[in-house]
Amino acid sequence: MILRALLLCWCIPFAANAANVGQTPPALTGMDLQSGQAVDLDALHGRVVLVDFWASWCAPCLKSLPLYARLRDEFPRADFEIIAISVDEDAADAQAFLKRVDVQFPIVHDDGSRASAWSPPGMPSSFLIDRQGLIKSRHIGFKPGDIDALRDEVRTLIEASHAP
Amino acid sequence: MRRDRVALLLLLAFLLGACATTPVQPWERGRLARWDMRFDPDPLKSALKEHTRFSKEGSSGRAGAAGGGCGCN
Repeated sequence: MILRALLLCWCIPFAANAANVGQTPPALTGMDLQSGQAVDLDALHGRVVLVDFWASWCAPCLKSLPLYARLRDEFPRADFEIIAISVDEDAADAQAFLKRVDVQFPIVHDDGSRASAWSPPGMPSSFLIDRQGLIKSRHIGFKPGDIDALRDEVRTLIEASHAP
Repeated sequence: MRRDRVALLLLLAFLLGACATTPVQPWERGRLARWDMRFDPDPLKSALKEHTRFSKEGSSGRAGAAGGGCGCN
C-alpha cells in the first residue's frame, strides 16, 4: 500500500497535461493584443487552425511570424486561421516586437496558464488543428524552409476534411 | 520489523524527493535569453580586449605564447 502510494507520488510530475497529436486541444481564449477583440479557438471550429507559441526573445520567431502571416493570406479565411500566443512575461515586449513585423492574425498574450495547458515543447512551437478540432501535428522550432511543408499540410487538411 | 520497513520506505521517498527538480519550461526562458545573461554578453568588446591583452602581455603566456609583449603584433 505504502509502496503504491510512493509510486503514485513519483508518477504525478510525469502526468502533466499537454496538447498531444490526435487529441482535442485545451481550451484557448483571450484577447487580441492588436485589435482588442476576443479570441476563442472553439469559435473557429470547422476551420484549419494553426496555434503558434512564440516570444519576442525567441530568434526563430522573428522569421516565423512574417512567414505565417503570408501563409495565412494564401488561403481563404473561412478555411484557415492562425492564433499566435505570446509567452513574453511583459505584454509590452510582445507589442514592441509586433511593431517590427506586419502580422494581422490574432495575437494573445499568455499569463502562463495557456502554455502550461498546451505544454509547447520548444520555442517556437505550433500545433495544427483540423476542421474537426483535433490536433493533427505539432511542430517544434522553425526554419524558413519549414513553411513549404506546413503549407502542404494545411492544404491537405483543408481539402481532405470538411466541416460536419 | 514492519516499523523499520516503513521508516526505510519513508527515507527512500525523502531521498527520491531530494532529487526532484523543477525544470525551466521552454516558455519560461525569457530571462535566460536576455543578452546580459550570456556568459559573454559582448563578444566584440571581449575580442578587442583579448587582442590588446594578447599583444601586450604575450610574453607572460597568458593566452598562448606569442610575441614579446612589445604591443607590435
